[in-house]
Amino acid sequence: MAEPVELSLRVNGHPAELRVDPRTTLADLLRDRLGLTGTHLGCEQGVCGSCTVLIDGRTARSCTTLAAQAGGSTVWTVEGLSPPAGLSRLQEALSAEHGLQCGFCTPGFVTAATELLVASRGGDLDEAAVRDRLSGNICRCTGYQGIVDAVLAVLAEDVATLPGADAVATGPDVGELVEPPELTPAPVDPSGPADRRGRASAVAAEVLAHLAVFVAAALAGVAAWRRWRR
Amino acid sequence: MTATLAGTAAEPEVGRARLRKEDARLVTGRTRWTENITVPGMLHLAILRSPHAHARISRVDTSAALREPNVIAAFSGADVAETQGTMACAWPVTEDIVLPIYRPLAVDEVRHVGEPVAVVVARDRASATDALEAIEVDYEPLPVVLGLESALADGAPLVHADAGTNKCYTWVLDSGEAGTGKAVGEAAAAAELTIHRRYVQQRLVPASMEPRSVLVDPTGDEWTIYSATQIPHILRFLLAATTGTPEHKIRVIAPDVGGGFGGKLAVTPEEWIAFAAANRVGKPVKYTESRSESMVSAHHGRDMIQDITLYARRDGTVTGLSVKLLANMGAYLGIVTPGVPILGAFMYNAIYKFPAYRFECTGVFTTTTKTDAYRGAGRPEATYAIERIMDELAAELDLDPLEVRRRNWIRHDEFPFTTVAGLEYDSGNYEAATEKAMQLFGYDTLRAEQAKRRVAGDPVQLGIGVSTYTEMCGLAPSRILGALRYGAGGWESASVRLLPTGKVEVVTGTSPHGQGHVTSWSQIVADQLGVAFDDVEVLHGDTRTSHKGLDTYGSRSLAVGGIALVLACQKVREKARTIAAHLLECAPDDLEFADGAFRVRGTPTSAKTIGECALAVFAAHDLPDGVEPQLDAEATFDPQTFSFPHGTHLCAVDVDTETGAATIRKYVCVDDVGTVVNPLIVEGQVHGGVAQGIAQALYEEAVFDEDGNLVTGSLADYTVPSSADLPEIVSDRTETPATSNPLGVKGVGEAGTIASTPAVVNAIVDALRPSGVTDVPMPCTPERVWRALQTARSGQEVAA
Amino acid sequence: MIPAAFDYLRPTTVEDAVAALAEAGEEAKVLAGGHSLLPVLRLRLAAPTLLVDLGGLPQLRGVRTDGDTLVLGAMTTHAEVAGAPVVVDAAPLLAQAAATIGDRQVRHRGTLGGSLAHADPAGDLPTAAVALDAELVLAGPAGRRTVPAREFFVDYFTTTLRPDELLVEVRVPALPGWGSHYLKVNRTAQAWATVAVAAVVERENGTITQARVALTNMGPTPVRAVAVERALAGVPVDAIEAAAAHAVEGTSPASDTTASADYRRHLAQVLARRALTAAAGS
Repeated sequence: MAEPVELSLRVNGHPAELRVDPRTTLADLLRDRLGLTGTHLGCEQGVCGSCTVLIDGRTARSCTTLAAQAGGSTVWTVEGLSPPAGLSRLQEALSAEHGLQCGFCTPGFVTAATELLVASRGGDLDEAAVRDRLSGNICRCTGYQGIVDAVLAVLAEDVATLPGADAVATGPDVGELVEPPELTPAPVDPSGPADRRGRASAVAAEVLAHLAVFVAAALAGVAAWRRWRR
Repeated sequence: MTATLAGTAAEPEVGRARLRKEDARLVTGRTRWTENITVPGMLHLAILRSPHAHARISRVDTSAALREPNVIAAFSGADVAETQGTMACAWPVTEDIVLPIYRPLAVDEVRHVGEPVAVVVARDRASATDALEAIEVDYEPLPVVLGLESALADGAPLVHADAGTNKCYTWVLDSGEAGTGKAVGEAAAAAELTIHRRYVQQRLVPASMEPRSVLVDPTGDEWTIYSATQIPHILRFLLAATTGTPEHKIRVIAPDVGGGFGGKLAVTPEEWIAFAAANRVGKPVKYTESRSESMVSAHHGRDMIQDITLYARRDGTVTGLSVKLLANMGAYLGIVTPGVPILGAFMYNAIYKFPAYRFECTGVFTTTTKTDAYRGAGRPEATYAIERIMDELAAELDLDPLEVRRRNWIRHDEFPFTTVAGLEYDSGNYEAATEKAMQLFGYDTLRAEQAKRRVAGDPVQLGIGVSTYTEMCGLAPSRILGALRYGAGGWESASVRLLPTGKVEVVTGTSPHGQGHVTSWSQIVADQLGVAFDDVEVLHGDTRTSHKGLDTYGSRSLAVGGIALVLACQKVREKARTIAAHLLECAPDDLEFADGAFRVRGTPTSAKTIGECALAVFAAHDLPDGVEPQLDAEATFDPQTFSFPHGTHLCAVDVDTETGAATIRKYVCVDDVGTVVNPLIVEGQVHGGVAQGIAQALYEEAVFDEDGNLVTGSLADYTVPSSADLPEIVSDRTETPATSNPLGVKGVGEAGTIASTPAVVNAIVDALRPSGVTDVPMPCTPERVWRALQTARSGQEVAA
Repeated sequence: MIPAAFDYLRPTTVEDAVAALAEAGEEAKVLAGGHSLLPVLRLRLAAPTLLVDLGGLPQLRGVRTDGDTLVLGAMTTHAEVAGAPVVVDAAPLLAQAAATIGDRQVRHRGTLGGSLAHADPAGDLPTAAVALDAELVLAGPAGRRTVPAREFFVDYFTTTLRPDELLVEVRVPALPGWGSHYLKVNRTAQAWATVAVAAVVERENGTITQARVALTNMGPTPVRAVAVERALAGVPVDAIEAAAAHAVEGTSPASDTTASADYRRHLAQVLARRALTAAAGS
């Protein structure tokens, strides 16, 4: 077991202080430690978007974010984006437009739609723009028509009153991106640009070339895979 | 007590776009997916899976895993060979079908990548996963067999050596022999025109968003099994039947279930393994698959080669149809694997009056993940092939594709119509649906634009695709299922309980996982009993509450389960009538039931509601002699025939002839699903179905490499389309009620998927036909479209 | 799946980060946004013993100008690169390429430096950096060195970064008056590029004076289409079609489940023509 990480963050407006195994993802922290089971794991590969939450007011996939990375951040989940009783306007619209069927992807869409609605500040998004901005979330039931219609229905309304709107509104504004401080001066590395020894990223070339084999190997466990490679 | 007349005369509930009762919980994340459920003492299961498509297991050593931290148990297939039971196939379609032994945990041989080999049970998921690495397995690789035709070739490696063949079965339907039509041979001999095509139904993955998950709790005097399943009742029955566990000691709960699409119409090895593990450790055990496990081990769909031959006269009249099918079973048979293509057998003749028909299907074993039901199951494949080749006929005769269909379809005044496949279609109006779709689509305007762009040589060509479909749903008349050698019936059950305050509890044997049964069933009951929509609760998905049912698949829930509900309500009404008559001091026959109350004919102020009757039986102070103090009723409905939704889908596609990219510009569908209980839900089912059909046409394909590894093993590679990849779907309806059931309903769950795939591909081919393209294999990726164009152009050059 | 266990560090200075990497050697991996790394760890395709999270280094996030050069911190997110007015103004190609990456969730977490160091040949930002002749500043124990983007990418997922080095800054020379366009074909909206083309064009009175073209996913690294560039020096705009036909020279695209090498070569020519036409027109 690795050295636990001390973590302090705010979730849905409440402080959370925890010690976690470094490999704990934010999704697992939310679901298993904080009981926020509205955040769902649909693929765990950073594709389906069911695990979407707001980190510092911006959508992110909690399945491919370590809990430790969220240290010091504010996190909002579907539980925080829902009023204590009843539904938010967005949620009402999703129901009214039949934007959900099985409901598994829905919390991710609520999160993504909250962010896009507030961030667009009632901008004149058309259907194509809404479809584009929701492309990080997969729904297998609805064909998206009801979801898109729901977002378009709420677009013209005062989205500032949506739960979580403040979190989005106070998130980083790329228009006011701060200049990074000049880096502290450092000596020039004499080896210069000519050094091409090369470093593989986390995914080695070999992995890419044989991804399917490796996926199968991952299923079977790394040890089995290593023996098999030999 | 004052007579408060629940339910109003104003508007019947059936037909109203009621918002779903299910939504408030789902949209706020207050849900109970199986993975959300924890019980005291619960342990976690992780499964070691085969990295080989075919290998002999010579050794499994789990001893090191047992020494890993937090590990409670680790075992292999050999360790539980006697107790783990077997997986069952419920549909042995022929007498001589090969039914291989299918162990949940492989014992001596693995036959597809991802097959379970050994397991670890640990205190937490991370420890269980870590400990898998300590399990040692020695495999002796065996030759793989992947292709359908190569699997049937002489000397092909055998998936199941003891079977002596890779052929699972051959099933034939011949209208000449069955007496449902002429012999195809005569049609072939007399044909003025013969068109043959080969279409390939690529393999698909159902890919519901919620992965499969199961929790087995052996605590107490029974086994409680929570599972993300479409079929809790069938799971209970088969678990009892194959493991010897007393059925009444098994309670299956399908809590919130996140989509199925046939993918959860399964009893899974993982459920059996979790059951075996829980029994071994005597503790609750939970297993939730990762997506990559799901992709290789949950069943796939489609995967067929279709050789289809159409015989016709030059006036466009089809005189005969012959279909030869190879269907990939995968390595094992799931509960309805062999039957999926057989469901299609009855649909190749579709909406047409073909006089002669022959269908032959051979099921083939390969060392791949097993196939089984995926939304539409056999019927989308059939509809695709016939709707594609009808377009080829139109092209051959230089007719509009809709005109060729008109010349062959069953006219609305010809119903009921017995088809060449032997089914009696009760109702339909193909003319009306087509006319409405053409109007919405702007068919003539788009054809004019197409002509212009063809003349101008626009690099982006416009294609228009047509699909006129029907389907058989409402599965199914038990007698027909029996005749088709299916192992169970097709009835459905419902019971209705009246509470003393007039509220109603409905128990249904259907098992919804997104279809909104709680809402639609409430609407039906509200009308039937004259109670308020909000006064109805619908209970489902727990065999302790709902002891009897055949669950949800095959667009059956409303057309079968909904009718059971109506029948149960009728029984309640009749019981209440007796009570009301007693309370009103009149004869039961003097009462009429309307607007939620029994009224004495001619004295409308004298009335009793069902709720008042419920209170009266609760008190039971003053009941007629010999009348039981209850209004509850149960009904089981076994349909006499299938239902036959139909419709016309039209698709306009822009095809970039330089990149090959096909973009859907307009999609219009007009469906006739009979009486509509809830238009909102019907529309949603159509939208979702159309999206999945478009996904088959353009995006999705499960691909294996030459070693049998699934190379599309993640959602990054198996490209399920997002909102940005799909068009706006314009949907409308015609409403021709079914005559085969009292509600007039037909079913809608699969219609969109069945209809849309050929509409899209027909549109792409239509765009490119002037260049000589006659087919693009699915999915029609930009590269495949581009290749089809290249091949056609070089063919034209050679011809010139 | 759950990643194999690892230790986690979140340094607050570049020097500490470099020192941690130097100490851990090959077994350490750098964590930026994590949306590429975490799936790999979850599948246990990689099992580093230490992750060094750069999330605690705000000094690596943001954009400034240094004379004619745009300086972007390595931890600047894709969303920031795509949306920051200063980037849109001075390096619109980079902003446009960043805007096409994945989806909003990915762009909120994914970083410029992470994308470059990950060196996926299907990545968009490496191609844009190569087209723009960006320079990458690498910090190691011995100090800093600056590597031209064209020399940074070595092979599939492999760069000149040493195990104890961090990419800290990306310097993009401004190209005032040039037109640019990034054009991508992918299977679905979220998917990696099947092929993409980055084009930047300088024009004078209807004549192209010079052009730079780089290709995504046409080889193990981003490829500069030098033959196209040569064919476009001092020619009228209508010479683009002929020049674009050279886009396949020097490429070695892979065949995979998304597309064959043949199709990629064809696509490169079509997209080069379209991207150059758009760039020359803007």
